[in-house]
This record gives sequence, C-alpha cells and structure tokens, in this order.
Amino acid sequence: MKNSMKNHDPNRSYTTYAAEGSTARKWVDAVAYNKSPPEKYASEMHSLGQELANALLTQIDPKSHGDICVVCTAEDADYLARGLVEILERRGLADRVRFLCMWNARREFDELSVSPVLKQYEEQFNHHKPIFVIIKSIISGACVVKTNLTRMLSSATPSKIFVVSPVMLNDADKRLADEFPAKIASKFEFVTFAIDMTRKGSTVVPGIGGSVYERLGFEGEADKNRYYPSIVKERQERDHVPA
Amino acid sequence: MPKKPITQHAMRKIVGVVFDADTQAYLERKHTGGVSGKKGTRYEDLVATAKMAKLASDYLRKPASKWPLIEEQAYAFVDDVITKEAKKTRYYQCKNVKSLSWGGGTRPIKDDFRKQLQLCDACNEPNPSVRLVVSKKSLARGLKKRLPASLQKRASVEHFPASSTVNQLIFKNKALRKWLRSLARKAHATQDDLEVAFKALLSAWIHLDGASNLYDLVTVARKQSPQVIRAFPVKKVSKVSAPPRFVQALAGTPDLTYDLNRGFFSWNCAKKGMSGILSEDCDSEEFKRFVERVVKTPPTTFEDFWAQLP
Repeated sequence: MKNSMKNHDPNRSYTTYAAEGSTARKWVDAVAYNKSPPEKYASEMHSLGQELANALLTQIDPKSHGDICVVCTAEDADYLARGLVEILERRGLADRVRFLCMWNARREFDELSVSPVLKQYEEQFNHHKPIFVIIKSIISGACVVKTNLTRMLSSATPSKIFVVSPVMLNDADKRLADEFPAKIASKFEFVTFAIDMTRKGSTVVPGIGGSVYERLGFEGEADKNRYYPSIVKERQERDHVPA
Repeated sequence: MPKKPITQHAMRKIVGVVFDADTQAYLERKHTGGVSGKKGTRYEDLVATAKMAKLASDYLRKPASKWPLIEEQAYAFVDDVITKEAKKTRYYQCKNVKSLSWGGGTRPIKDDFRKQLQLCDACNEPNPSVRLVVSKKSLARGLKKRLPASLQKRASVEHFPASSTVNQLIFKNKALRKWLRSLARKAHATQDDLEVAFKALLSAWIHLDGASNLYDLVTVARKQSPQVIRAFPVKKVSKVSAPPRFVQALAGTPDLTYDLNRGFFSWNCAKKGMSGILSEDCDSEEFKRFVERVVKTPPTTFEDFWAQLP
C-alpha cells in the first residue's frame, strides 16, 4: 500500500492517491462525512469508482496482456464498479475488460465469518494469466473479498491481483493476505484512498458513512440480493456474454 | 456397528483396575486440562473437522449401516479426537510444534500411546489404533522413522498442515478439498464453497460436547443459514425431483438449466452469464414458496425467472 498521510480526523489517514486537494480526497470524504441521500450517495460512489480507476491505471503495466476481470458485489455494481469500468474502457481497455458480479450472503457464527455466493454474473474470459481487479466499497474483515477472490482462483491463475477500495480498515490488507498462500498473496496490489483505524460495532468509522446497503437505499441483505444491476443488463444486451 | 461410548464413570473403573494410582492421577489431570481448553480454530479443531469431512465423504461413497461416532476430549491418554467406526477405532493426538520426540518430556508420547492401546484392549474396542498428527512434514517423516518397535503395528504418524485461516488450509490440502467437494451443496463446487462447508462443520465440532454420531454433527452443520452442505441422507436426496408442474412451468424460460441432485435448486443461464443456488434446500419453506410462485406465474424470460427467485 502507498504511504499514508495523516488527517485532522484521528481515525483516518490517506494514501498518496488521495493527496490534499485531489478529487479522490474530495469523494472519499464526501461518502464518509456528507449525509447525502441515496441518489447523491450513489453518484459519489460512481465518482469514487472513476478515481479508483485513475489510480489503478498508474499500477497496470501498459505492456501487460490478458483480460482484466473486474469483480464486484451486487451492491457496488451500478455505482462504484461502473465508474471504474467506464474509465478503463475510455482509456482503451474495453476489449480486455470482463465484468463479474457476485451476490453474497453474510453470516457470522462462533467467531467464524462466511459470505457464500448465492448468484453470479460472469463474462467469459481468457484464463491465461488474466489480471483480477477486485473492487469493493469498503474492506474491513475482508471476508467477502476473500470469498469472491477464492472463487475466481478456482478457475484461473492471474498474473496480478488488484484489490481496489476507497476505504480500508487498518490491517485489512494483512488479514486478506493471511487467507491465501504466500504465492497468491504476493500478487496482491492494494489501491485505496483512506485507511481508517476503528470500528463501531461492525461498521468502520468514518468509513463510507455507515452501511453501504442503507446508504444506497437497500432494505437489507435480502433486498440487495434480489437486485438486478443495470450494468449487468446493459452488458448482457451488448453481448458481452457469448452465446 | 460402532459400540456406544463407555461412560466416564465406567471408564474410571476400568482405569482403576488396569493402571496404578499414579497413572490414574495423571489421566485425571490430563482430562481436566483438556476440557478447559476453548475450542475454535486451534490446530486440533482443524484436524478434527478434517476427520469429520473425511468420514462423511467416505460414508457418502460407501454407506455403512451406522454412522461413525466422533468423540472429543474423552477420558483417555490420547484424546484430541476419537473416531469409532464399525470395525475400527482411532485415537488422534495433534501437535502443532516444530520439534517433538517419542520419548521426550516427563510423560512421553510413546507412554501415552502404549497406555491408550492397553486401555482400548481392556475395553474390547474393535481394531484400535493411535495416531500422531503433526503440522511439519519433515517432523512427520522423522517420527515415522523412529516409531518405537512396540508401537509399530498399531500406531502411525500423519502430516496435517497448520494454518492460521481455514481458507489457507483448504488451499494447502488437496485431500481435504476432495472430501469437502463431495459434501458441498452443488456438484461442481468452487473452492469458496468448500471453505463455507468446512466452517459449518467446524462450528458443529465447536458445539460438540463429548461424543456424537457423525450424522447428528452433519445435521447441526446443515442448520447454518444459508445452508452450505448437501442434503442427507443420500438415498432420500437421490429421489429429489422437481414437481412435474414446476418442471413444466420452468420449461418456458429460455436457456435455463437447473439441478437438484444434492438437494438444492442450483440454476444456470449461460446465455445471460448468470448462475445461482437457493440458500435453503429443497425441503425448505423457501423452496416450496418458490415452486408455488413459478407454478402460479410461469416465467417466459430470464428476467421473469429472476423476479421469482427468493
């Protein structure tokens, strides 16, 4: 992860991707501190996705080959992930971008966390050394990211794994790395704007201003898991899924 | 069929007859120490859960008349995990250490193993064996080489890798992946499905107090919601078929395929790049309500089908 810079909020520090006065800083603070209604919050998330794409592009080797698999969750698909995909496509990577979306349940029992995948949208990709971009609105326990990445690794061995999120809880990168053999963890590259130090219950503070489900207007997990993202429909219509 | 576990009271009586007072006092201390340890994701808990996965997988492949028994922290010299099948009884001691010898320490492992076999014989247990499970491969090799002659026939050493997380353990252990695959809720399970199945079994193990037959443990593991382990018993599951009206109603959804073989409704629409599985099995109210919705309003597009999913 890039070196951090301290901020006035003692719970938060910023990475070099979100220098003072940058648009990345503006949007990562907007989702954390503005109490925007769902529609505006979704737009802020979309902007954050675009900023994350700009940061990601500084890390992708221009000489690299292979499909770029953008993997997101259903709640992030239409806003954060859409913003990222748009910029990647505008920067000439449309032919390489493949979109995958997962609908996870989330449970904790006996201090064990699980997030089984209930539904999945997957565009066919070339399994020879793809680049994985796992994007999520916030990474704290890293359970969902671990599950979705593990699923991806069941079918392909990537050349690089980018874990992309506006905000991460301190040490989330270590927790995620601990879930994988060193050979896989060595491929991780984290792209994030802010590192937060604390949690209030299960919610990172200031994080992304609370629960992403609630902020986006979902009525809980079941509602989120019935959601059919527009970006998925659009890509299906654009024949991203070969017949 | 596996014998019913002997009660601790009866076991204490047998120990009193077979061993001297010093050994009896040692066993009491060992048992008290073992019981006070908190179960969770300790090395021995991961080994025990892997043993459960293997036994359940073996049972699926070749069903016996009775399910095996699993016992934890028994009143025994070798007591981390005990498995009792119709024709064999196995006692496992788990050690996540860098170095270990058969004869080191004030109470050497070889003595515990000998005494355990002596106790098994006194209890007429079927074909007992004692097994040392260690996390380091080279250590396992060394211990195998130096296995005391008196234990050669009924003791062995196994390597089981240590891991700080379940996910990493599954990456490291090919045999475990194979066992978990046979227990997963769908035929072509991906590795993330195996992790959640393992954790459901681990949770059942954490709640085990004493002894239980494996079927009851798997049943506890299956109560996690969403359900992440295939339906049991297998005979009943093999008869699971969708009601004809449901089959007919789904036939109008273009390119939809589905499978109920492991007691779950999993579906796929390759043309749309979509797939999924219901979170509860085909015995659940969730599935029944889904069937009713589909039969009442047969879907004619994938989007209709999606709207009727729970």
